[in-house]
Amino acid sequence: MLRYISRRLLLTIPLLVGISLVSFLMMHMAPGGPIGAGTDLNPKATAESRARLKAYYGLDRPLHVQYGRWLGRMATLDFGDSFSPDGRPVVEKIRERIPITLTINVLSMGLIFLVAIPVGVYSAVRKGSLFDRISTVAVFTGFAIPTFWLALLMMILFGVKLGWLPISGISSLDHESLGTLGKIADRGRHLVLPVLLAGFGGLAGMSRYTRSNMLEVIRQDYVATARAKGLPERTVVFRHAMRNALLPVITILGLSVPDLLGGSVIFETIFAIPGMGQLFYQGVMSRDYPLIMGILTIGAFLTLLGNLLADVGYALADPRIRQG
Amino acid sequence: MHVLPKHLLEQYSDISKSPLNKKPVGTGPYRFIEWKTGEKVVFDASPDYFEGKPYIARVITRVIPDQATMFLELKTGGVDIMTLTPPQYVRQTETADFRKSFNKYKYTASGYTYLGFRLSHPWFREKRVRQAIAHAADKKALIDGVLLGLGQEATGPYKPGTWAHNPNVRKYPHDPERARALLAEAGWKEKGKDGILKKDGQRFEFTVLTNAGNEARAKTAAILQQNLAEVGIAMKIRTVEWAAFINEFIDKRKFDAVILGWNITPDPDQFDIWHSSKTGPKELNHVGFANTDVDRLLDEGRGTFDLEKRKKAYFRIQEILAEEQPYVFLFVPEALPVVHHRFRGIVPAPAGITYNFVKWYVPEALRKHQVQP
Repeated sequence: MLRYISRRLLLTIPLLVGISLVSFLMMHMAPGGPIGAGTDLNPKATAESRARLKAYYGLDRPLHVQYGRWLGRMATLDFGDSFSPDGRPVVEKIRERIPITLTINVLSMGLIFLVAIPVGVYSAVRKGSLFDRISTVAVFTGFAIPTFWLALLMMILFGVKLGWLPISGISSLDHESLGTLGKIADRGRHLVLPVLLAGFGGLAGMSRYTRSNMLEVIRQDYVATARAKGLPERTVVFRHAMRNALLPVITILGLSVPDLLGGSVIFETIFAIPGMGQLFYQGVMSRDYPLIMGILTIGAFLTLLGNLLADVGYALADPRIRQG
Repeated sequence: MHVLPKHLLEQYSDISKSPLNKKPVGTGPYRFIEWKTGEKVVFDASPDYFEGKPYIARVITRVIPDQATMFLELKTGGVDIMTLTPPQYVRQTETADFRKSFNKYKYTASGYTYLGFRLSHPWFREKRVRQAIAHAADKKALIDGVLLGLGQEATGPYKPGTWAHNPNVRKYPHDPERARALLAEAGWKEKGKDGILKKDGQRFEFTVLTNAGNEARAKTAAILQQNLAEVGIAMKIRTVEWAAFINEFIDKRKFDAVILGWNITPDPDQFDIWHSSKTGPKELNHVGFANTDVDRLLDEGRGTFDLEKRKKAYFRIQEILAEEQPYVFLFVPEALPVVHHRFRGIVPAPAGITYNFVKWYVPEALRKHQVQP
C-alpha cells in the first residue's frame, strides 16, 4: 500500500508540470495581457510606458523563458506577486480568501450529506411512494432553479420583508465592535442564506445517487438473505444495504476535495462574498498571470490529491478492491 | 498626475514595492483607514483638509458586485448612497415608502455612447452613407428603450450645458426617407428580394462589434439593427469579451463598426481621439478620422488659455464632426444617484451631487452610526 501511495505521489509531479504548461499556454493565448486593464483606451498610456510596464513584469521575454522562470519559482513554492495594482504576493491573496470559501463549502456539503443521504435511502426503500415522488420533484427543483434568481427571492423575503437575515457580505458594519460571541453570531447570520442555497442546489445529485445505489443493493441476494434470516427491516436497511450502497460516496468525497476551495462566481457575486470564485474571475478578466497560475496549480494539485485519497479510501473500505 | 508623499516614499528604492500601494496617503478630505479586499474600504474624515474637516466622520465603500443585491442592501439600510439603473429609477423606486426614506437625484452624466465607423471601410468611406445611417438611427427610441427616457440625444463629443458644447450643429432627426435618399445618392439603389440594398452585386451587410457584459450597449445594438433594417441595411451584432475586443478587433482595426462610449473630461481637449496623428495601433483614433481642419483646430484649442479662442475652436470642431459623422453620436445618459434622506446639505448642480460632500451632514436626531473615537 505504501509503495502504491508513494508511486502515485511521484506520478503527480509530471502531471502537475503538464497541467501547468497547458494552463500557461492557454492563458497566454487568450487575447490581451495584464497591462491592458490600465492602458487600453487610455490616452495617457504611451507606447513607451507600455513597453516599460511589459519589461517590469517580464512580459517582454520569450514565452519559454517566462514559463521557465515561473516553474523555477514554483519549485521553491514561490507563487510570485500578483500583477494587479496592489502587487501583493499571490499566496497572500489566496490565503485571505480561503477561510470564507472553505467554510461555506464545508457547511453546504455537510448539509447536503445530512439531508440527501436520508432522503435517498428513504425514497429507495419506499420506491414509488408519495415521499419518493415529492422528494424527487423537490431535489430536481433545487437543481433546476437558477441560483441567482432564488437567491434574490430569498434575500427579498428574509432580508427585506422579514428583516431576519443580512442580505449580503460576510460581516456587519459594526462587526469589529462586537464581542467574540457576537462576532461568531454575526458571521453565522451572514452565512445562513449562502449555505442554504448552495446546499439546496446540490441536493439532487447526492440524493439521486444514494437512491439509485440503494435500489441496486436492495435487489442483491445478501439483502434477501438478511430478510430471510428474519432480521428486522431496520437492520436490513441500515446495516446490510445502506453501508454497501454508500461505498461509492467515498469517491464522491474524494472528487469533492478541489471543490472545497473553488468558489462559484455567480454565487459570490450575488451575495457579495469575497471568495475564491471572485478572485479567480477577476484574475482571469485582468489577465493577472501569476494569480491565475497559482489558483490553477492549487486546483490541479487538490484534484490529483483528491483522486488519490478516493482510491486509497476505497481500497481501505472495500476488501474486494484491496485484494483485486 | 498624482501627488506623491516624498517623506514616506524616499526610503524605498523601488516605490512600486512600498506599502503605500495598499495604504495610500494623500491630501483629500478623507484618510485611508482600512481595506478588506473584496469587502470594503474605510475612510475617516481628515481634520487637516484645506476646506475644513468634513462633517461626516467615516465613509465606508462596500464592494457589492451585483446591482440587484446592492439595491436590496439600500432598502435594508446596508448602503446609504448608490447609483440606480434606469429601471430601478423609474420602476422600482416610485413608491411612497421609498420616497419617504430616500432622495433621488438626476443630472447629465459625463459620457456618451456612439456608433463608430472604420472610415477605411469601402462603404463607410462615403460621407453620405454615414449621414444616412445617422438619419436612420432613432435616437429617441434608443433613449426610451435603453435608458427609459433618462438621457438626451448626443450631437457631438461634449456634455450638453458645458461651455465647450455647441448646441447649433447639424442634427440628424430620425428620417428613414431621407436616409434612403442619401443611400441612393451614394449608389445603393438596387434592392434585393430580402429588402437589403445592393451595389455592384454586394449586399449592404456589416457587423457591429461591442463589448460583452454591457447591457446598455447590447440593447443599443438591437434597436439600431431594427432602425437600419428599415432603410435596407443588414447589421449583424457581435459582442466580444473586453480584452479580446480591444486587442483582436479595435487595435487591429478588424471591425466594420463599433458601439462604444467615451467619458467626457472636464477639459475639452480631445486631441487623442480626433487628431490624424493618433490613428496608430493602440491609439484612440481607432476609426481613422483624418481632417486637416480638425487637426489645426485641435492644436489651436490646446495651445491657448484664452477661453473665447478655445470655445471658437471646439465649436468649429463640433460642426465638422456633425457634418462628417465619423461617429453617429447617440446619447448622453443621466446619472441617477440615490441618497438616504437623513443626509442633508446636498445641493444638486450640473457637476452632480458629491462635489460638496464635505459639507453633507446628518442632523443629530437622525444619526444611525456613531464612530467610536
